[in-house]
Amino acid sequence: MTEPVRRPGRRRAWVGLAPLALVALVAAASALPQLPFLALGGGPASVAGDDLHVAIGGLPDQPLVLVDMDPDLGTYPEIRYATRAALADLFAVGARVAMVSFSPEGRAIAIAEIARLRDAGAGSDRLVDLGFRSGSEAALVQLAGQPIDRDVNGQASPILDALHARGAGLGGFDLALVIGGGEMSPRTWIEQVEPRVPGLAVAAVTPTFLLPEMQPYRDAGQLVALAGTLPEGVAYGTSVAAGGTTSGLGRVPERPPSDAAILVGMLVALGVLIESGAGSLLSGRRGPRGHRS
Amino acid sequence: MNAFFEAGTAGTLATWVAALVTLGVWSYLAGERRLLHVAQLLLAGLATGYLALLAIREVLVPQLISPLLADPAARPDLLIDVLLVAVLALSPWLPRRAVALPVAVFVGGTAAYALGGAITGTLLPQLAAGIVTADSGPGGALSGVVGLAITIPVLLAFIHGVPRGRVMGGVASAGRFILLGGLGAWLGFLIVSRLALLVDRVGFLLGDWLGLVR
Repeated sequence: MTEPVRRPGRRRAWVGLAPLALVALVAAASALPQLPFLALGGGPASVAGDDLHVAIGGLPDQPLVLVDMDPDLGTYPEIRYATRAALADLFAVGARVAMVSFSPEGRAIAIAEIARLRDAGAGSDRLVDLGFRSGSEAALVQLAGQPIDRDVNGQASPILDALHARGAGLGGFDLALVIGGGEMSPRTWIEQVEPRVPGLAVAAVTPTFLLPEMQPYRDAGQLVALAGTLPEGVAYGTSVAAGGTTSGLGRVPERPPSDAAILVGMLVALGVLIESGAGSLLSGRRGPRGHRS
Repeated sequence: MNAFFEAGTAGTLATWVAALVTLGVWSYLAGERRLLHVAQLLLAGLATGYLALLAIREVLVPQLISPLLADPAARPDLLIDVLLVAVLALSPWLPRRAVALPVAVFVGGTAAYALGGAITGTLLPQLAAGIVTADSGPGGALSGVVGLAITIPVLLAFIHGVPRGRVMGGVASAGRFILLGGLGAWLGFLIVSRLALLVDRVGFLLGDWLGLVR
């Protein structure tokens, strides 16, 4: 009994159409409303990402918080919702935020986020821009060892005055929130800053691909909080949005990523993996002409 | 909504440019390469310009030129920095021995930061956290055993050039499979990250650009 003849031309056409089909499916799924039973991270009632909410909620009155904005352009869309939720969460508890970057990509994103926050009403008493520090790890070590008394324009600021009253260095901050990426991850903070400034609590928002690197630090308590996956970030952001204000700095300014679109994309990725894996297995079992060996 | 673009004319223009460039990149999926090439050149040019601007505005002028113009005698360290950078920049035309010093400072400093931080910030604290104590309970003990059962084979998989017996070879082989499993899981994480990027772009086109999704 002969097997049906394979048609490579038709298969190539399907393979060529697959990316377009993926985009079309994701677009169609994005247009669907948010579905509670698909909610990434389990929705507002979920405990995923709770430790970040607890860490920010447990800060003292009008805390001083340093935000290291160093995500990659390629992964920021994944953590943007959680990042903006964390900033809204910080402003909702009255935090005074200083923002710094150690990577050029992070600085580009920081400039955009600072502009957005200024438009939303963040004055110099709530937000100060510390600019870009060149030198990567060396710059971080330098920041840990010297006073921080001038903003990016070389000007004084009410926030830096308050920091000065506490000793002016990194140790004066109540929390360091690291928005990490591949070039400058929270690991650098843990390795370079924690041994030099042992009292500084470090929390992080990172893209999913950094999770294997970050999880041991969270488990060991070196990170006080971590939103390290898309579901954790979405659950955290949703809970902040549900409990936050509807305007001003405490508002989460965007909706979470489409659950249905992520689900469709994951199903397609799973299908591709299964197809390629099954194809490899089948081709390994069959002879060169498609007959069972 | 990515909320990066303001509501006025400039924001509308920026949204249109971003949307058209996104579509230009995606045209590669339909076999069109020229628009992708234009987008790549645009990215390279913009990135170079941005890096140059960032270096001038936020590094060179405030941290080097302004302090040196204000009081050169007060910052002799900056003069040494300039000298080292100049030697590196002129390295193709200078003797190798002259270039060796700044290169050694750069490589040695970077390695010292990385190695020192890895030991004091990661290795020692993680070893301490990995120790199973008497009050860890059965869960902690089991976790420790599983951790050990994964770590030892993976470490053994990296030992090359040393004669190994059948048992050691088998454990090292298991370590390689565990390593592959870990890489596979990491690839899964990476797919989620890239998928989120795609969903974000689609959301940008449908929401910010076309206004179909709010």
